[in-house]
Amino acid sequence: MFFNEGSAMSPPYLRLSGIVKDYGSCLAVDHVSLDVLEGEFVCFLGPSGCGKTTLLRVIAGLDPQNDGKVEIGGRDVSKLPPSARDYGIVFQSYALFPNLTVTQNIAYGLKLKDKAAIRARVAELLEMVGLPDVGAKFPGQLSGGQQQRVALARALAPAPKLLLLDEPLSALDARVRLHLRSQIKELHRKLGITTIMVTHDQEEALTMADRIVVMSKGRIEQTGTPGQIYTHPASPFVADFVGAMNFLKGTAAGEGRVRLGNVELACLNETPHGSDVTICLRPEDVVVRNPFGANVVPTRIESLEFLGPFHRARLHSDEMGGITLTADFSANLVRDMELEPGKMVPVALPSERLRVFPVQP
Amino acid sequence: MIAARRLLSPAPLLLGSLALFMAVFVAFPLGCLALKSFQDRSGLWVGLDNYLAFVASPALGRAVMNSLTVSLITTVITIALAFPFAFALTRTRMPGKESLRILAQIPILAPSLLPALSLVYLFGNKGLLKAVMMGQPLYGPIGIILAEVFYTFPHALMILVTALSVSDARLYEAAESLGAGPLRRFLSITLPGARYGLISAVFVVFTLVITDFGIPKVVGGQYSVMATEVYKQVIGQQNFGIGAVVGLVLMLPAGLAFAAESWGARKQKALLSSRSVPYRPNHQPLLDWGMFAFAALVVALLAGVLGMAGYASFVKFWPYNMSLTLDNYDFAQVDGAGWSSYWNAIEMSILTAAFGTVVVFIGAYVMEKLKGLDWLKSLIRLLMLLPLAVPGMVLGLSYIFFFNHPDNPLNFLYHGMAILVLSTIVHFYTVSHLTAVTALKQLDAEFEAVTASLKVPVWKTVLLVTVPLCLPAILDILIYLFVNAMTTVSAVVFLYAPDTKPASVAVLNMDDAGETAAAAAMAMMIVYTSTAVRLGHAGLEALLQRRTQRWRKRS
Repeated sequence: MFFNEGSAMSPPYLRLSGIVKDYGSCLAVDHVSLDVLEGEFVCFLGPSGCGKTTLLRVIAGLDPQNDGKVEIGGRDVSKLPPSARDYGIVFQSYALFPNLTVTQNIAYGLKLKDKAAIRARVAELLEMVGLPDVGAKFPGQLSGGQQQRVALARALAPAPKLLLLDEPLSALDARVRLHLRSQIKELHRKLGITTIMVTHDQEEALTMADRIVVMSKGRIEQTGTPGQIYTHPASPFVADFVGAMNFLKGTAAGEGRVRLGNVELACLNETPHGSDVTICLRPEDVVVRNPFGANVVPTRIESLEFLGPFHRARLHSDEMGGITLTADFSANLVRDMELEPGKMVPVALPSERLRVFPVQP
Repeated sequence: MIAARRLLSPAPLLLGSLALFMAVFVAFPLGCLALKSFQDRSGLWVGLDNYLAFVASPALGRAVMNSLTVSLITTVITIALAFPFAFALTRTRMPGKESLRILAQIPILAPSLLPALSLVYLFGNKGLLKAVMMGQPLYGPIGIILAEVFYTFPHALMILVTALSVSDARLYEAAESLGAGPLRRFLSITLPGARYGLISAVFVVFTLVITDFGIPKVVGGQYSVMATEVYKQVIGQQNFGIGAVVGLVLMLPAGLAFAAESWGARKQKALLSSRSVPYRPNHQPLLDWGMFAFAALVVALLAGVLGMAGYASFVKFWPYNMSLTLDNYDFAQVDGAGWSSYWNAIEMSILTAAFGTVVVFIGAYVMEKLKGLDWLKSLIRLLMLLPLAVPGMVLGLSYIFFFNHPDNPLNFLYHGMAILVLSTIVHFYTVSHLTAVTALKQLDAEFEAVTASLKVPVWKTVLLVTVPLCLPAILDILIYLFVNAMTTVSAVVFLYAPDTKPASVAVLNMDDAGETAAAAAMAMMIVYTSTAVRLGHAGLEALLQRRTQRWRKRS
């Protein structure tokens, strides 16, 4: 497949070097550098105000950067206006022209002279986004999801080499969002177009992206595949932002050891002996069935919250200094083991799942 | 090469022209006026002498007191009538609401001189209902106040209706469930909710009255107010320095009103959250019909005043020969300019509406959509809002000082139609600009970004999308400028030349010459014209609605 061929050998399709965007009152983008390979699907992920949308608008030339270089397809476009760059863009608000029909909207950027050719291209695009019959309608007569697909078709009409998506699914309701997610992904697979999507929804980023760029306060916190981001968060911020996470306070107890209350746990610790650390563990990584190994601690179930397919347990541990640990147990596990509040259960905290971060002074 | 194209793009050029326009037609004239207040007749710097003369002069002191008196009394009466009227329109199930709402706007169609003329026919020395006056003279404060109430009523009503439309039904439900009676609910919810609108209505009415020139000129008699005093000082005595001082003093209440208005508007908006539930009044026969009786009476009075002028304009020789005739419309009999002043007004209104709408819309678009140059934009924005705080008289006066200066290269504008059109555009700029900005703000902010990404020139999207979407607002601006140009007196009375005299000034002149019937006839010509234009607008709007409903309608 096309997007997989972008190996380390080929030059990146998009290269950002030292991008700075200063709004006077705040530094929206703070020296960001990033390479995006040809055909890659990259998500900018972060909370609102982290600079992800600003960075997208810098790439698009809509909010020119104060410093740094933007190269698209090997061409330095840093000082070029939006119209001189080659990309299609879709906004959260769709920005469809309400007084033009769907066909007129999609044909808006087509430079074809021949009317029949325009008609054919529009029909092809409508087919592609799965809306073959709406060409004569006005945007106001379509549902939100349909409007978003028309916006997508309009952005793709001039066959750009780069597709920018600014929170394209945020305005839609949950069910439509799920459907469009897979449709956009499918489209990307078919066209192999380099795509950058801005989102604040971690689930969206995890399911859609080849690579996620987690941003915070105008800087890149971590870049990696969804798997890397989830299992090996590079900072407590990423750990907290992507998925649920236990944050436990402890101290480093030498190479590969941390101390939590009376318990010493084995882990991949590299911080100096005696320093304060934060230990991160995902709720679903707490093992209650057949716990074994070094990191087994006794706990008492304080509460069990029913959440449909699984239960969220709060586990109290006197051994670990009276902390409370959140753990997710599947419904049938709870049934099989007859877990209930008040019950004492030993749990294992797998050493390879523990992430240890030094506490920032 | 592409970078060069960006530098030459028309946007900064447009912003520059806009800044120049605002500087030449707002900032420089007003600056000139301020300067003039420190100079004597020969243009020598005299410091605060003019201000001291103003304070020391008993005549001017009396004019200030008189202005304050009539403005305050008018404000109290107008608000006392407009508030219950607005309440009836928004908070009751009064029958005939829509018709009453429209009929209450009657005064807007007429120049402010018209109610004054009507009052002369009703309560003047030969008036129909002279007995009602019980020997009190109409000419003076009574006439001014009555006419000003007519003139300011729709302005107050509009603001109060807007304020009272903002309501959250849940507040009333909560109050009722806590056992609050109707009076307590009115005092603790309705009144506080409308307080900003009320404050802003008070200021607007006060300003309209204190800066109005036409009404005191016609029915003021010997009772001098500030606006007529400016005219006397400048046109009568060529005393420009004192005129400038009085003009600047007149800007005070308008400036205050402007500040209160924008403050009130901001506060008012914050009152209603997006989760509010709109209030739906219940049937209360006693209240509904009581309010109907009140509103119908007010509308009947307004219509009566207008009708009186209309009737009088057809009467042969009031009050001795009451037979009907069209003679009064033969303006050449009483005024050398004859019908030409009517056609001047039409020409002036069309030019004002056409050029004004283009300038306003392009100006609003550039201000809203152009990125960067923020310092210049805030400066321009200030100059765009300023005209709202400048009374027409003061604007006219400042134009005399600036454009009539022999060293001004724009001096050639002074004696033509151009200065009338330009001053009228500027006089009514602020409201037009805000209308255009509101319409533009409702459009998706990313149209221009999408256009650029599709490599389509921006002007194409403006023509194909922005203008069609803003068409209702553009029509509103066009009509607003036309009708106001048709009825305005205050700025143009300083600026017209014999061959550009507009109809509203002709009304003033003919009344001055004692030709009240002809004056009423010309005033009625203005009413007929603005009514026809408004009706045409309503028809056009309905047509537009039907043509565009396909894409406006939600599925």
